[in-house]
Amino acid sequence: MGTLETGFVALSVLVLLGTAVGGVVVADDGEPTDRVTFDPDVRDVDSFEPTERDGTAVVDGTQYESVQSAVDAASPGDTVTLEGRFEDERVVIRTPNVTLTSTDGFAVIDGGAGDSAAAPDDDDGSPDGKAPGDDGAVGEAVGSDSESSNDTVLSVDAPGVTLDGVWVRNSGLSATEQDAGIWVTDNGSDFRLVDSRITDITFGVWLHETDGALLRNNTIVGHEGVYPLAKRGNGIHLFYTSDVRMEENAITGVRDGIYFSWASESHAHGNYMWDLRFGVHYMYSDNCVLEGNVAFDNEVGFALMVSRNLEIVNNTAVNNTGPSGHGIQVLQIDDTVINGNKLVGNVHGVHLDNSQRITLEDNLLMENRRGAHITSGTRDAEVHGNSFVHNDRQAFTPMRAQKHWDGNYWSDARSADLTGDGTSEIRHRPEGLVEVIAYRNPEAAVFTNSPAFDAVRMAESSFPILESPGVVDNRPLVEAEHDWRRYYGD
Amino acid sequence: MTAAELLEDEDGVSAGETVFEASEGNGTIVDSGRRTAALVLNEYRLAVRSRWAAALTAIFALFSLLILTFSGASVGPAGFERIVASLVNLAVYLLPLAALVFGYDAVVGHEDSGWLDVLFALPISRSQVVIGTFIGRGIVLVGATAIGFGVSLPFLVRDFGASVIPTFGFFVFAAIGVALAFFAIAVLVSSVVSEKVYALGGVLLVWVWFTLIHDLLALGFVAAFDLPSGAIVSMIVSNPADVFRVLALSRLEVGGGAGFAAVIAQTDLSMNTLLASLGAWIVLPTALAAVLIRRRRL
Repeated sequence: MGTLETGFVALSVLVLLGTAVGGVVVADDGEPTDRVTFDPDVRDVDSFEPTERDGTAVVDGTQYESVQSAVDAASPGDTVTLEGRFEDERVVIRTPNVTLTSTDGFAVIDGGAGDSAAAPDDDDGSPDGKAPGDDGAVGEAVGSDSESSNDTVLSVDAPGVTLDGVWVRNSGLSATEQDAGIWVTDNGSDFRLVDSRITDITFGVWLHETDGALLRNNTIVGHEGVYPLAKRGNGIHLFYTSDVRMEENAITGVRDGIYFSWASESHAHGNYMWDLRFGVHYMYSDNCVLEGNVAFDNEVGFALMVSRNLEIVNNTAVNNTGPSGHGIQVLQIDDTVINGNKLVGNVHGVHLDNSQRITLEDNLLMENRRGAHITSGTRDAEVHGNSFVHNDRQAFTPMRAQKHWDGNYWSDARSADLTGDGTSEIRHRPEGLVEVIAYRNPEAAVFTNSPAFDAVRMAESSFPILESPGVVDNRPLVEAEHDWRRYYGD
Repeated sequence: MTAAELLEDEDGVSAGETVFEASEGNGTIVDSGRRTAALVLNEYRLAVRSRWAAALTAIFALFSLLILTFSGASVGPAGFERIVASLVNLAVYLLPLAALVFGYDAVVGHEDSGWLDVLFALPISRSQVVIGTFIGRGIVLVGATAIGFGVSLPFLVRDFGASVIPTFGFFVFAAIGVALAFFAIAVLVSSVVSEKVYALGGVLLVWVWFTLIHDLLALGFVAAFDLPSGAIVSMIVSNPADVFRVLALSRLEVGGGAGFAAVIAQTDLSMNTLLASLGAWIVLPTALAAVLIRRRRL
C-alpha cells in the first residue's frame, strides 16, 4: 500500500472516530438556550421588607392610632402623615382633597387578609366559598355595585385624594369579590397615587367609574402564589373611566398588568409589566395611548381587544411565550396605529385578527416564531418600515389575495440596491404559495427548505406575473432602521 | 494515465495481481472472502490513485469552509445552527451529485479497458465483483465526506465551544449516509446500462429527480389532494435526499430548520424510520445491482 492510500484511510478513520468520540463525550445537554438576551432594570420586588414598628397617624398635630380615625378627623385639604405599620386596617377615605403621606420610609397599611393563605385553599372555588365557574370572566364582569368588598384594604370615596409614598398590602384573595388594595369609587375623581407600593393583593388599584386619576411610579405586586393566573386580579383595573394617566409603574404577580374596560382617553407611559397573563389588556376602550411600556415574560405582552382609535407606540414586548403568546395581540380593533414597537422573542410578534385599518410601521419584529401573523378577517393593514429580523417565519397570512407590504426590512431577503436610494430593486416574497400549503397541511412543512420549495419561491419572486397569494414587498429596505443586534447580547 | 499505469504499485507489483493471487485458493468461504477483500483493496487503490479521493475531499472541504467563512458574523448557538442549516442546504445538492458522478462508471467504466472481462473470468461471482466495487469505492467516498466536512469542526469548536460536536457529528454521519445511498444508486445504474454515456445521463436524471422533481410532485400532491397521514412519510422515505435533510435538520432549532423537530413530531416520522430508510437506500440498490449484474452481457 502506498502512503497516500494508507494515509487517506487513516485520516478518515481519525476524523470519524474523533467526531463519534467527541459526540459521546460531550453529549447533548439538550438545554434550550435563550436566543435573546434581555435584562430590564426593574425593581427587585422580593427585597421589599415592611417595617414592624406600630403605626401612628398625625393630622393637624394630633396623633391617632389608626388611619381611619385620622382621615375622619382631617378637614378637606389636610395632610395625614403616617409612620410605621397599621395592622388589620380597613380604611375608607370620605374627606375630599386629603393627602396621605409617610415621614420615614413606606408607612404600611396592612389589610391582614392575605396572610392566612399564600394560595386559595382549593382548586375550583375561591377561598371564601363563593361559587366557582366565572373565574375567567371576573375581570370582564360588570362590577354591579360601586362599593368595595370587605377585604379591600383602602377605599377612596371622595374627590381629590392623594396617596404619596404609602404601602398598602394584604387584601383578600377573592377575584370574584374584587378584593383590592385600593378601590376608588365614582366619588373619587382626580385621585392621585404616587411613589407608593401595593403588594400581596388580588386587584392592585380598582378605579370604578372615576375620571382624572394619576398613578405614577408605584410598584404593584399581586399574590404570586395564586394559580392559575385567571384566579388573580389585575394590577390596575379601569372600569368606565376616562382621562387616567399611568406612568412608570412596575407591575407583577397579578393577572393582567393594566386592564382597560370601557376606559377612554387614558394614557399609559413607561410602565414595566412582567410574569403576568397579559401585560396590558384593552376591552371596549377607545382613544387610548400606550407609549414606551415594557412587557416581558408574560403570556401576551399587549392584548388589544374590541376597541378603536388606539395609539400603541414605542413599546417593548420580549419573551411573551404563553400558549398563544403574542407580543401585540390585535383582536377586533379598528383605526389603530402600532408604530415603533420592539417585539422580540415572542411566539408571534404581532397577531392581527379581524381588525380594520391598522397601521403597522417602524416596528422591530425579531426572533419570534412568527414575525407578523395576519388572519383573513383583517382588512386595510398598512405594513411599512418594519424590520423583520430572524423570525422563524417572518410573516404569515392565510389570505387568498396578494398583499403588498412595501418598504420593510427582511433579514432573509436578497437585496441589490442599484440606484443607491436605500431600497432594493429585488422584490421579496416573505410568504407565498408554499407557506400557504404548509399552513393548510402542517405535515408538508417537512419539505421546508427543500430545493423544490426554493424553486417555487424563486419563481414567485422572479416572475411578478405570478400573482400567487401571500405577502410581497416590492421595495424592501437594504438596511434595518433598528439596532437589533443588542438583543443578542455580546 | 492508463489503467495499466494506475495499477502499477511503487515496487512494480500490479495491484490486479493481488486479485489473481487471491483467486488461487481452493474455493472455501474464507477464500471467497479473501478474493472479495482483494477486489475491495484494488478498487480502493484505483479510486485513490486516480485522484478521486483528493478531488472529492477538496470539493467538500472547499464548500464547507466557504460557508463557515461567509457566516462568520453571527455568534451564539443560533449562529452555529444557521451554519449547519446552510451546510445541509448545500449538501443536499452537492453530495448526491458528487456521489452519482463518482459512481456512474464503477462497473461500466471497466468495460472499455477490458478489465471487466478479466474480473468476470476470475473464480469469483459477479455479485462479489459489484459488492467489492461498491465497498472499495465507498471507502473513498466515506473518507472524503468525513474529512471534507469534518475539517470545519475544529473551527466550529473554536467559535462555539465543544457542545456543537454531537450536532455536527450527526450531520457528518447523515451526510455519509446520503452519499452512500446515492453512490449505491449510481452503482446500480452502472451495472445495468451498456455504455458509460448512458450511465452518466442516467445518474444525472436520477439527481434531477431526487433533488427537484420528486419534491415538487410531492408538494403538488399535498396541495391538490386530501392525503392520508402516512402519505407524507412515504414521500419522505422514498427520497434519500429528503431523508438526509430531515435527519440533519431535526437536530436544529432555528434558521432553516424553523422548529423542525416540532414539524417532524406532527408526522409519523421517527428517528428509527429515517435511519432505517437511509440504510435501505444503501443496501437495496447495491443488492439489486448484485443480482442484475448476472444478466449483463459483455
